[in-house]
Amino acid sequence: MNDAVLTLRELGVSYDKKTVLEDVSARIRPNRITAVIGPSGCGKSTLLKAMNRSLELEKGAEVRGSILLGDTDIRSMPAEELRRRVGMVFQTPTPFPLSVYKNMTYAPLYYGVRDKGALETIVRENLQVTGLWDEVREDLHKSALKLSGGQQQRLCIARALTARPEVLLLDEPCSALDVKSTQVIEELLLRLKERYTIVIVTHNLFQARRISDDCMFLLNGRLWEQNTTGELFAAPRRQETREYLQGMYA
Amino acid sequence: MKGKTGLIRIWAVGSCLVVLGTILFLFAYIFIKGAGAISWTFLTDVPRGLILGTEGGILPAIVGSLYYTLIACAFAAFLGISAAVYQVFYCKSDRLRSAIALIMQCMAGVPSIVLGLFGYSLLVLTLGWGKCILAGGVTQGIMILPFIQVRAEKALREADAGLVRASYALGVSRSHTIRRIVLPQCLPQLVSAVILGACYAMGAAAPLIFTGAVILSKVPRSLLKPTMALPYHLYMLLTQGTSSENAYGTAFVLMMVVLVTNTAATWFAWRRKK
Repeated sequence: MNDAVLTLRELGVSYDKKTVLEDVSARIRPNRITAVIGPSGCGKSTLLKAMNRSLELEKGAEVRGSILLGDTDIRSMPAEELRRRVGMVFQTPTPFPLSVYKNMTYAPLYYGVRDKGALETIVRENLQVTGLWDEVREDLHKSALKLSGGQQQRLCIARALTARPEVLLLDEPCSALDVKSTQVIEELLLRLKERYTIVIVTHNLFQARRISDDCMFLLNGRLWEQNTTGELFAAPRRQETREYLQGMYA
Repeated sequence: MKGKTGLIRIWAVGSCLVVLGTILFLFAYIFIKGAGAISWTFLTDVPRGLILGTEGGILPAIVGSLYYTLIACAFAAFLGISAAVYQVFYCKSDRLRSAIALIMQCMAGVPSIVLGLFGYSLLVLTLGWGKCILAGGVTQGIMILPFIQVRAEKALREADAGLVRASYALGVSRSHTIRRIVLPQCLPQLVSAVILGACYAMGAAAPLIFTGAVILSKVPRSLLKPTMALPYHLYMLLTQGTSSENAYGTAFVLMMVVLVTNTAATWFAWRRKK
């Protein structure tokens, strides 16, 4: 039995023969926020994309090793099922050019929820979780593109939750947002970890330190160090980690 | 250096003026020459006169042209957009994709009279449809298929990849994503591609000569009967020396129909973009 939600085993990724990730083995523990940090181009986003198999959609990407979701190799399940269970939120908010309500019912309708009452509950509950409900309850049928950047990003998180995932992957979700919106999203993630397992890629070391429980440090496509955030920041075991934390690779 | 830039500018502005001037002159010439022939009877009657076409009107040709064009569009839009969806979202092999693009280019290069001959031998003779609206429309459809496919492919390729990724990230299948996210997003470009194709089809006489168009018909009641078409009627009026006034009148009507559809397409695309 395996208590990790996601287990990476000797994961390697290359694009057109160029190696981007090599020999990454790690365990993502449940109901915790795991931050993936490292300098630009170290493979953080690629690592995230490997976890929901969206790498497959990119040309020339080749994946080695394996990733387990629970005890199941993610390659043995249909990609759609994996992506429902492992949700993803991107760097720039990607609301569909539809109303807030339709953004929120997009996935439930696809998964066969037809009852109007049930749909409304899904919309309300998930918007409440993300703290967006009070802000948009009057404007549910207005275009989601009219929301502010921070609201759009929270809508995207709420939308990801409508698919009832177990894991939530976030790829620098705050890098396009201002300080206030960032703070709102960080608080949201801290609330969400009670129900979901969260993996967040971030450039922002302060953010990693503020919200994450575990931390993975990537450099040049390799995992140099994985530890609880407290220990990794307080007493990095490796020279490279220490240098990165001190801003040498920034 | 400065003198060179000035020369290029004069050349560019001059070319623009020549093009614009030609178009305006063409329109004005046809409108002035043709406006005299336009009357209520001309628009609502069938051709009459001892030599057909000297009197009466062109109603069957107007209605006929609309029928031919509708069939052409339905045929070409369905196949063209489906092919574009396959090209952009399903086709994994680069070689196959460029093969399809090459075939489309070749199709676009086939002279329309040759397409007419093809339609005649395949649809009219081999399939036994006879000369009829359906055969003519499908032949025109083959003509505008590459036209629509190329534009549809461009529109789909430019669809917001972020939204497509976001949809996949919810575990939603490719076909559902295409139907719910991609096609609605590309609708303005797709509609304007189809309507531009329609304008092209509406003005083409060559594909219809062997496959559907006739000198005289009533207003069509069945897709399996041949009927008149505006460009073919125009061609007959001029080559037979029947009535140049009515020929200009027909050209006037043809241009008006094309202009109206074209404006509608532009307006639609513009409104959707807003």
